Amino acid sequence: MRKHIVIDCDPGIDDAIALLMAFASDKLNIVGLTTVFGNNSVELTTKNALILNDTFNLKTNVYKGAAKALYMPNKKFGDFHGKNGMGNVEFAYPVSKENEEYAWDAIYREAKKYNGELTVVTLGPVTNIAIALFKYEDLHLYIKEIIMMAGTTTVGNERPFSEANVVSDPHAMQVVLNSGIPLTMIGLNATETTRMTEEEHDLILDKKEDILPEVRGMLRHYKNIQNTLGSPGMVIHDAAAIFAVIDPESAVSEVFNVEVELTNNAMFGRTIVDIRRHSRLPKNCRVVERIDKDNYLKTLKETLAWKGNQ
Amino acid sequence: MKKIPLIIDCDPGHDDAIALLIALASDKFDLKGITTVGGNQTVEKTTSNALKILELVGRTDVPVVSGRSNPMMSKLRVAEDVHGASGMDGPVLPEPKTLPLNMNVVDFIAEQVQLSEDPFVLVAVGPFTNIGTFLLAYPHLHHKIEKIHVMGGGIYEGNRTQLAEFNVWNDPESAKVVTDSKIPVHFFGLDVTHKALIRQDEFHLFRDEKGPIFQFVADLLDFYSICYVNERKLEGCPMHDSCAVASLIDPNMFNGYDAFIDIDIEGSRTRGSCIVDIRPIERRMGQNNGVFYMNVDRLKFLRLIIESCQKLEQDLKN
Repeated sequence: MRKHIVIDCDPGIDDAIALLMAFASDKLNIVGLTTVFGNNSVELTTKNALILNDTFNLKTNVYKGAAKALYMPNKKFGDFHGKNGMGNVEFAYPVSKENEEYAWDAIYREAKKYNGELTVVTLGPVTNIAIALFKYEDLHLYIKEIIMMAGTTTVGNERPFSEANVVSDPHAMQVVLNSGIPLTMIGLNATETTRMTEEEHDLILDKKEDILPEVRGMLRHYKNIQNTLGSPGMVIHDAAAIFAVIDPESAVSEVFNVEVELTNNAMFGRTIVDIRRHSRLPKNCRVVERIDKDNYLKTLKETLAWKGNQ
Repeated sequence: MKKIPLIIDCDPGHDDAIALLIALASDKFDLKGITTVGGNQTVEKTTSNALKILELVGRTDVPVVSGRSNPMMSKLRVAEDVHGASGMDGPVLPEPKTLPLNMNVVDFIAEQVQLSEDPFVLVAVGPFTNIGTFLLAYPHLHHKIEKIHVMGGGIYEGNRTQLAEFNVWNDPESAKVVTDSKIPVHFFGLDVTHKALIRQDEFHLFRDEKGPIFQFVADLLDFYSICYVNERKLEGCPMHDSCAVASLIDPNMFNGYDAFIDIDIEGSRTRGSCIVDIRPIERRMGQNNGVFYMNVDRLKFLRLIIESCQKLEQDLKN
């Protein structure tokens, strides 16, 4: 049976590849996309979700969500993902429109409809989920699990120990960690285990002719930016997370207590994973430690060859 | 004169009860509903208390909607030490026959705001969980809110900690959503509400009057004074929440600072306190997002409470 999921995202190049992987899979029933600020403004991430919906004929619903963090003003959005958030690859202006309903309302409605069988997958800041939990105090009864590309057990990216999705709204992350819903965190420590070497990258991308030029263009931008930050090869964080949703057997994980540093200091937004064997804190979150890279690359190859729905 | 479209978000609560009486007695308001929140007591109890008050004054036409039970980031801490096990100990009122409207509180507020042709006013006198969630969940409706009158906080005084007042202390994050919203916010904090007293030697003004409303208030004051007079050594009972309503009826009754107001959500000592920038130059810089009140004309305020009770007694007879 297909897993019923909502994907909460902020496309974003790695979000885009992750979405293609999700829609290309026969393991998932994607009931809708919700968008959030993060890599860019929510206007731009929503537009990009609609562009992907059009370009790949995803035939899905797009619901716009939060424009800012719960308790912080909006930051200036960088151009890590290019000026248009999609690696400066040109796409036609989207013809599909976002749904009238807000992200948090759609999540609650779908969760009730699937009556405990809905999985929420998040690829950006988890602000929409926090607002859903605030507005609907019984939401936890209807969600099967939340799987998040978020946090890190080791090194960070936006700050020394903090990952960008969490730093963008640490309070929202703590709200989700408090929710009592079964949680899985796929952080940088896990996505990094899927990092392609230069050789693997070339084998998958450069020498393959059946990849759409838009996909190739986005990934070229993404790799160049990553390489300027000092890491060789390429890791597609959100795609690695989606892969772990599609194929949980390929992810090694363990359950820990996880909390977020909320004081605005150097550790702001750090996901504190309590690995002490004698810890008595409630084990509220499954933490993925590594992902089977061979299996991931196999799925990634299929994803990149996918041309969208007919 | 056009009436002010209004929702009162509250957690009755002794002082909430008197605030509701003032609002129900005034012809200045188009009271669209009363929303309840976990605060002085659990939301089940504050909802029941709101219904009891409406039944007492014969105003069951005003919808009550039950809201959030817990603050955004933590579990609720009730004020049983102040308001008793029922949240409104003292008066003995029958169990309510009416029911709250079966609707999500945030959707109710949004619907009323959306339907209103005139700029809406929100009065929030409990923890700000409902209002904060409404502001997060309906960003496109912010522009339809003219202002938010809140009871909460303080500049120099707290009650739950040195600097944190109960409502803000319980849910600082939702208070921060309110001050971050850029909607003008009028704060009636402990600096002013501790001056808005009904003195103990004035309780007889209510007890001596016959009629169920006056007796209700007299009973409230008697119980409320156990905390405020006996334990906290004030000269009477502070009518915290009534300030946020009375100021809409007579704005000249209060004065304070135009200022930039923010909420501290992370201080090791100051979490839940108000950051009110009252430095003279900063106040002139045009960053002000509201008014922080400091003083009240107490006799005018007391007269309004008595007149409100008289009006409601009259309405009951008609």
